[in-house]
Amino acid sequence: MISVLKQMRRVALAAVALGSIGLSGTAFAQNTASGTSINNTATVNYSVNSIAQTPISASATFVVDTVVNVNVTGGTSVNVTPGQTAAVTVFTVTNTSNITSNFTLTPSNQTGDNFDVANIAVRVDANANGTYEPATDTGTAITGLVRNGSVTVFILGDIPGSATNTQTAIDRLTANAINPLTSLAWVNDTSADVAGTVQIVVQNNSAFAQDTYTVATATLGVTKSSSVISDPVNNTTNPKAIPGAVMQYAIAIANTGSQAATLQSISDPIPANTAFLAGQFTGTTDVSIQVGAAPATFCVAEAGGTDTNADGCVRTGGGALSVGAPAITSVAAGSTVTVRFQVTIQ
Amino acid sequence: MIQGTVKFIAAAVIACALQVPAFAQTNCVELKTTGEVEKEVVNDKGEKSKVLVAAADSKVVPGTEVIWTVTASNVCKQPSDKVVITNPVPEHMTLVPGSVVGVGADVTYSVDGRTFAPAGKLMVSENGATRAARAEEYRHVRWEFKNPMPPGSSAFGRFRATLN
Repeated sequence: MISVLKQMRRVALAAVALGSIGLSGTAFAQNTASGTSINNTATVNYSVNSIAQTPISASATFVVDTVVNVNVTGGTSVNVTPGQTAAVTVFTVTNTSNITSNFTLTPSNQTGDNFDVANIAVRVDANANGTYEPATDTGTAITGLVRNGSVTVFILGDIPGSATNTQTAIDRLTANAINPLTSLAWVNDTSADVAGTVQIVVQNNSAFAQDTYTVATATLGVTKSSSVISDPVNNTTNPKAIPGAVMQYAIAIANTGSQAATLQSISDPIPANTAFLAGQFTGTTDVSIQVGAAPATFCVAEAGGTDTNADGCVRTGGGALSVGAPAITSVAAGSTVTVRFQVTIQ
Repeated sequence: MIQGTVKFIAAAVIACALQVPAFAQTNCVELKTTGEVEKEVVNDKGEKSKVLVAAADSKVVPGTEVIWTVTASNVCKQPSDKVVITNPVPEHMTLVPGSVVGVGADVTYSVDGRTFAPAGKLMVSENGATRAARAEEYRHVRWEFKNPMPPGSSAFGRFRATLN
């Protein structure tokens, strides 16, 4: 008996010594579901004539009513090019109600920008992968979005071909909460609350957010310049453009836009009364290509129209120089590509 | 066999400790719990004032504050003493810091319903470190009334909680 009491005392001491309580998690579940019954039970312990009495409990209960809320987020900017069709901006619609709701979605062009997108349309991200897929994401409204649930929504728009670099178009997505039972907007229940029934409180049944289409395009400028390298009389000292002189042509393609331009090819007719000079660069190559500040690369421009070594440089049968891939593929934004070749004056 | 005997004795000791009120015929204390919501009303003169409406008769949605009041009344001819009201914060609700009222009572709090301590003295362990529990982490409120309740008197405890 004594040993049992000692044991009990030890257990009691251990409980006091622990002192602190481990927290299972401090984050509270938010947005309690409509219809949840909230019960509060208090208990009183007391004594009469120093004799502890049976504890008494008392409860009170209420039922959580329905609150309707919606939130839309956007605020992103997407780069587009003139003439692009179905350019995508991304939004997120969150059901911040405490009940499942449907939502209608309305896309619109805004003012205060440079242009409007054409054929503006809205699509719901059906497979929730955050990427617009025309075959999969065909829905234009949200049905059965659970409380606290989010859905990605895309606005599609065609960018006019007349849009220029850095111009913007602001688009807006508006989401309206719809009662799935009536397929109409949620109606605020203005009558007095009836105990035990769930009533509807519409806090915010419409929300919107805006995104921006920003035109980012390449702007190319081409300049051609020539210089005299040597002439038969003065050689390289103050050479003059006289018959027999060696001339160098430089074709510079500058991209002053904000996006890289893909180059198909650069073609330049060999000027009349001149003859293309082969082997002028590093002794064996015919054309110098300089991309930005990088060291020049060189290629062979075969006569006769066939690029036998497939380096992208060739002289066409018509007497024009053509430089394309792989010698040149693109001009980065803010960069210049310069093609140089030499001729002799006849 | 020996083990069984020890267990029996231990059970008897616990029974003695907990089930003392052998002479009580009726409950000497009545307990009542009410949940109310503050509602703004405007009178004929356009003056605004706040009234309390039963939570069950109000629209209570996430974010609504409910005022819970527990009232203990002594309905016996003898005084009741050692009056202690314990009230777990309802599930889906969060105690509003600083909202607990209890005239003539020492108020203590608990996170787990076992260890009670005054505000600021309740410790919790999180990620291996011990810190004071935050008010919104209190899951139980306890009022220990310092004086005996005379016959016919009542005492109350009150707190506010927000629906999560």
